[in-house]
Amino acid sequence: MIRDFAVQGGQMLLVLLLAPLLTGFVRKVKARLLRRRGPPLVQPYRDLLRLLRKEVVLADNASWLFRSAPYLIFATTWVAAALVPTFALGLTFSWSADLIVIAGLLGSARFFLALAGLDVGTSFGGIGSSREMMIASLAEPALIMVVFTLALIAGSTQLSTVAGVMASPAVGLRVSLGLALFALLMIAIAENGRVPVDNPATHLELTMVHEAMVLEYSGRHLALIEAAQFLKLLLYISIIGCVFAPWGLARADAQPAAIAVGFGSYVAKLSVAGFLLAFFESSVAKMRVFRVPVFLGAGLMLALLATLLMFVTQAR
Amino acid sequence: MLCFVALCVLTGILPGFVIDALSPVTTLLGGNHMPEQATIPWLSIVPVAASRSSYNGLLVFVFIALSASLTAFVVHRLGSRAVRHGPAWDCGFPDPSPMTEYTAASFAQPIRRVFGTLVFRAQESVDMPAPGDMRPARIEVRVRDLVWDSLYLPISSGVAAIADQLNFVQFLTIRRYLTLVFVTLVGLLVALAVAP
Repeated sequence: MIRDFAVQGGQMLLVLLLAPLLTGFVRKVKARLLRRRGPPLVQPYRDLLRLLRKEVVLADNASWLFRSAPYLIFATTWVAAALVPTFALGLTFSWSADLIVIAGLLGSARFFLALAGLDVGTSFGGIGSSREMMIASLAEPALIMVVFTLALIAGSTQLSTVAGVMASPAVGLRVSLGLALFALLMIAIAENGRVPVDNPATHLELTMVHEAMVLEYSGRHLALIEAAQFLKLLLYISIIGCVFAPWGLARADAQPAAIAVGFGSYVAKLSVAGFLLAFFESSVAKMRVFRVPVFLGAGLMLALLATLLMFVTQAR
Repeated sequence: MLCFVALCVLTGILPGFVIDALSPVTTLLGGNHMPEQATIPWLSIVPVAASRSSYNGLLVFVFIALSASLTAFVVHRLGSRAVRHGPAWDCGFPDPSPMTEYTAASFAQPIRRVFGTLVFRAQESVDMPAPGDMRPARIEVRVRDLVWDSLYLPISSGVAAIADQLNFVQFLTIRRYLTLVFVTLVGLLVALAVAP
């Protein structure tokens, strides 16, 4: 029992510690691809610590919601990230929530962020919130469709069970799985505000989404929102890794050696995904805001097609 | 309002009891109901089997509350607690006035635009004055609500048509009104006598 809690606690700490490193790694690779030296890998940690030490500049008309939203956003994202199997299966709390709950937790975090964006009443926050909701209205159904596809294949929405089934030889190459992976990648890019949907490195009013919502935040509040953003990227890569590349995942009751292998393969998966993300981001241009629905609509259609294909083949 | 909020939170945290309380309704509607949920340990809900899907609202709630409090505690203890109040920054935008304020219509604008052609059958018409004409150009967007048109409009137009047909009933003489009441009463009594 104590050991199970230790593994679960280790997972919570691990995602928290690795998330800034992953973002730092992506930034570093992007810089190297552009033949720049780039900031050091630990720069996101330094940024977070610097923001935590700074005082908060609060708008006069900000309400209690504006002050409490960063904590709620961070907590819900952290809990969602802690529920995804990273290096070990069958975590203690994995039975308390399934993939649909994880989608719901991310939806709640987004809801609080959009409310906080609207709270001060400035135009930029409103623009960001309404654009975020537009993206969500397409990305969330697509995510749920991907969950349905996985549930049809694995007979479960529990991530540990899904990862176990996907790792077994019973699941071969399937067209619907390929479509679902493609859809999930598109959703992950849109949800994390990466190029081509949003550029986390710019403050251009015409195109920004996430940065517009958090424009009024500063100090520790901004640090928490940034940390939640790092966690969200890690969470999506972890979901993709544990469902579509479930190799090396240790069982919760495994020996320390197996857990070490699981940890090593998790870090390898994060590095590969981070490199691919940086490569992809360096090779495409940012798209117009009103082209995003076309991009996400394609993701939604792929996910829908995957579910339908699975449904038809299973019914026969 | 607060009562409803509290009920919503309770329903989300302890869904097992609500599902059990609703099982007669599902039995009546669908002929079947979910297994009893309140007896499952730790107040989880398990529709089929724990390996397929399960949810523990209470635990997720406690988990979120604990991590939010822990974060607040650690941030306030290790980081700065200082708060300075000032005017909203807004990226150099001038003071907001009612004219520039973000409204519900502006919030819905991106969604209206995205779903406009498909869901709302939006049609744009541009009225561009000829060169030399001093009146301003106009762009007009017409939006149709298909749900309203296909669901509510037939009902409301049907009610309006029936009301038009029965309009003459408002202009009868007192003798005819009494006859109408009498005939209705007899009809109802006959229906009551015939009905088992």
